[in-house]
Amino acid sequence: MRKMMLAVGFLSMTSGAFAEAPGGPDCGWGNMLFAGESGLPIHLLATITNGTSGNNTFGMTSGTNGCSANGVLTYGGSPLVNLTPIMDEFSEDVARGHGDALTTVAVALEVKQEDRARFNQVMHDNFNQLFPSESVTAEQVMQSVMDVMKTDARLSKYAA
Amino acid sequence: MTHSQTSLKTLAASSEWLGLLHFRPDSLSPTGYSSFIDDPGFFLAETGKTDAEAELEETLQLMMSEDSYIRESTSCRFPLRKQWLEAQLPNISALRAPSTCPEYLQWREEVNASQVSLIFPAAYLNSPSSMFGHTFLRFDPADVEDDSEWLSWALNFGATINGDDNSIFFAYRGLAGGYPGQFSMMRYFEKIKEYSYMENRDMWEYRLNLSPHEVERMLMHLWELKDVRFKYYFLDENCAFRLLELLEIARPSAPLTSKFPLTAIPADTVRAVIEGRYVAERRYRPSEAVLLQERIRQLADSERELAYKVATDPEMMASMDFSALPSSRQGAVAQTAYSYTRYEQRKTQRSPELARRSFKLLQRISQLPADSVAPEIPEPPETGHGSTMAAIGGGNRDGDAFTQIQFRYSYHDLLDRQQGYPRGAQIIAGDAQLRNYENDGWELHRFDVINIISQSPVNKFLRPLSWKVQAGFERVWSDVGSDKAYQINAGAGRSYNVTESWSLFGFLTARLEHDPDYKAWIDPAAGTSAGYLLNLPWGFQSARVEGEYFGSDEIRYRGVLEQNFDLAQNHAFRAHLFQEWNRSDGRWEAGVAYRYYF
Repeated sequence: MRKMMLAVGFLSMTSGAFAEAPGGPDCGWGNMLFAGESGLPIHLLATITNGTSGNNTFGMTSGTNGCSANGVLTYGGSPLVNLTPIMDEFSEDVARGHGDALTTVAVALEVKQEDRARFNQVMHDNFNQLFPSESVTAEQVMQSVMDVMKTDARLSKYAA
Repeated sequence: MTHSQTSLKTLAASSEWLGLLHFRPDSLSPTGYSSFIDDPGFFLAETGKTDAEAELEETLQLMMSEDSYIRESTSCRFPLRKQWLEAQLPNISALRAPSTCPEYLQWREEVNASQVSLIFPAAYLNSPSSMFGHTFLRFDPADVEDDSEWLSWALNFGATINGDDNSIFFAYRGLAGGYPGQFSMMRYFEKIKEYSYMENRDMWEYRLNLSPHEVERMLMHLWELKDVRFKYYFLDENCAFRLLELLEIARPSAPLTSKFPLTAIPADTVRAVIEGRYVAERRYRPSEAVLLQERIRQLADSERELAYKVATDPEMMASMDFSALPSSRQGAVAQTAYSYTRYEQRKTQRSPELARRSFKLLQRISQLPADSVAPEIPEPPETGHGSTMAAIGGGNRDGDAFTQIQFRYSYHDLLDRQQGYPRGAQIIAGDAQLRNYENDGWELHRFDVINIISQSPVNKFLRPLSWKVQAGFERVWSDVGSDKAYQINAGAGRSYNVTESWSLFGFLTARLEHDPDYKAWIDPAAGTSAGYLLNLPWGFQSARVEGEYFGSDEIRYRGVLEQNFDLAQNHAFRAHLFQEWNRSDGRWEAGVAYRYYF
């Protein structure tokens, strides 16, 4: 539960920065899939200067897309990362049962190397619970990840 | 003070101090030196941008100040300066006052880095600016595991651009330093998404052999550059150059920036870092487009048809054709369809219909066996030819013998040795050809300001547009005016792979031409171009025929046959045959050249 509390803490710290309410009506996985480029000229510009538009800071951003600031994970204890920006990749890896996004979430949840294969398997077996519809949000997916882990003998210790 | 003025002078002139201030020789500066950094916030002394000694004195003064707030804030703002001064001036006890620096320590802990990798997203088709590439750094924790680098921090140097800017000005501003450059940090997966997913660029990851002490120095200095603005210049003071500076800070004994006085093309800087023995390990991260191509390649023809149908209509997975396949092949087809759907989505706006299709495909994939694909690892970019080229050759133009010298500033043409470069892509910037006919004296034969060709093949799934644009001066066979033409032309078309090594292409073209001796100031033309590109064991061959019809009623057409012979990484031999006609007449040309890349 510690991780979820961190998530809530992080949310309250930063939610003011987002135009849309976290978990708002337009924040499902189905919509995230199409967060495309914001027009060709600015994209070309970013390419030629290797730059970024807007809030380019030295400080580290959590990398949200303005849609949702929930589903936050920890990495190595202190920094926080959000499931939202990798939800597409995560859903794909869960369907396949392997991949970098799945590993990333396992690492963020501090799942030990020896339990990674089990983690992949359990996530894969529960695709329908994690992704019940195309309108599922990152927060709901995160909650389901925790729920599924709790019911597994080897993974429950990471979701405690 | 126990130190003498002379020792301060010596210290201020040392290469390490100059490095910390980002100084370089500058004939316009009263001291002969000035800093690359334009941001006054980086300097403590008023004259710090041009006076390294004044900056040193002021830094010392503040770091030894009686006022603990001034002492602390200066030391915490410039931790590497402080560390260096401590080491250089061991007798000054006032410098040894410990600083706590909670902000720096918190940041340092968050970055949690003990290893550094140099990341090079390679060039990709259809984006000329990407051909110059990009480099950035990635900081990994000591216990980073395979495939968990997604959460590592990436350090990017780039221009901060304004989304409201008129796109016409961006290239000018990018070239002329009109955008402020700044370092920024983000999770590595943000960069993977940007390059591998959105831009379809392969990424090369070079893990550096920096010691923990060297990594520490780099991070300390990075903190000193926090929020500091540089001017961003596309060609020289760019991302790649700034990273070389950081590497020099980390390991002062190895000069890197001095190798790039004029331009720093990322591919060249990567080569320099490898030659400087910084690299411990290299890893290839294929782009999503490469993975999709590999999935398509592994399907039989009938399965490809099916995958395309399934991608556009997932209900086809209920069809007899699909269910007749063994489940492993069903998995391969469904995954190809999904990858294709994702590839298409990245180019379009969000739509509920695509979301529904993607979701259906994923649901089904979760019930089928899932194979990973491992595309063949291409030759790494550093094995490619040098980006500048000089050639010497000769030939005969319609009975007149000539000698020719050529200098090409950058970078790669369609027939150059392909290793390390993308196939079907050409980008030339600054290419001059001088000719001397029968010792008549040298004249400019041709000058390309830019000459870009992007031939991306179409297939069942992907139908990219091939295009080209070229601008410059050339000699033409015209029956009106002189033979001097200043022109710009562009074309759009298709390219198609007949076999792995043989592709056909066709373009519709448009041209604007200015001839100083001709009555019309600008003469527009429309035309076509078609031909083939063939990858032979000894080098690329290309043939094309093309023609234009001008507004002035002039007609010109020509045939070109070219063959490159790859001799070694940086040596080639090129031969060409050329015939051109206008309404009334024609002429031919044959030539050979030896090409050296560096």
